[in-house]
Amino acid sequence: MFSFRGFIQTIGVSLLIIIAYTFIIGFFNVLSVEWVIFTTFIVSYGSVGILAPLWNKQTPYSAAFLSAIVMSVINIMFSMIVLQIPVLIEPNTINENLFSSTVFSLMTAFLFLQINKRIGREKDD
Amino acid sequence: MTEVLKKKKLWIVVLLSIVTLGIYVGYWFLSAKSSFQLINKKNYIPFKWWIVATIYLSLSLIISVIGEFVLTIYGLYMLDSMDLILTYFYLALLYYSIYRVKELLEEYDDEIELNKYLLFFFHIWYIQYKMNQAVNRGLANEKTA
Repeated sequence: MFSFRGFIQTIGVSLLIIIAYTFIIGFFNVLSVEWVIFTTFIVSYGSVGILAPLWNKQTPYSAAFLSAIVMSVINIMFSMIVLQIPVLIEPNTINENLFSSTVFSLMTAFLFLQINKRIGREKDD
Repeated sequence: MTEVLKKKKLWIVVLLSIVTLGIYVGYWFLSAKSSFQLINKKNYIPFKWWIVATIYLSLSLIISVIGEFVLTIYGLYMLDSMDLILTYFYLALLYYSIYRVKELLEEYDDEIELNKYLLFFFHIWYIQYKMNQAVNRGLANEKTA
């Protein structure tokens, strides 16, 4: 039912997409810091919302939700270990982060599935 | 049917899940394990994770009570953050499990039909309500037969 392999693939590919995206925008240095954060959020959790239903066809929403949580936890751990920011002492920020990431991923997954359904229907016609 | 599904008073299920701050939800899944396995041995409900979740929720309740006296303010904030992260995992587990229960029950009995939106808002309460209905229907059918 729940494909663990698909779940790991989603996380891995999303991380690669973020690395590539941040490298490109960092290399060209065209966006302000706020826009970098905003667009990185959209790209990372948007890719989770698209890739999770692709590799977890039977449980797309569970996969998108779980992948978004894991991605957020990876971000939190990265902030703590690499950037030395004590994010865990701010539970409200953690909640905002988890809430926004899961909601955005679920919305993207929903839109992706609806678009796929419509394309499938048009192909059948 | 009456042998497989267990009837429980709905108000007790609702009350216990609120009073125990969600610990009872884990217990409910574990107590219904034998029923679900009788319906289909190869079900996809992750009972092992429910054991972990129930133990964690019980420990978390104890730690949050003791923590007030033992931990510093930073410790309490960190505990809150960890609790929040694990709460989201708990939600993922809950919603994954209830939709698998929905598929299981609908496959088992054609008359059981669970509304996905009501299931989202009322989770195990709605499942228990539908299970109680199925048991009552089974009892009524036995009487008329």
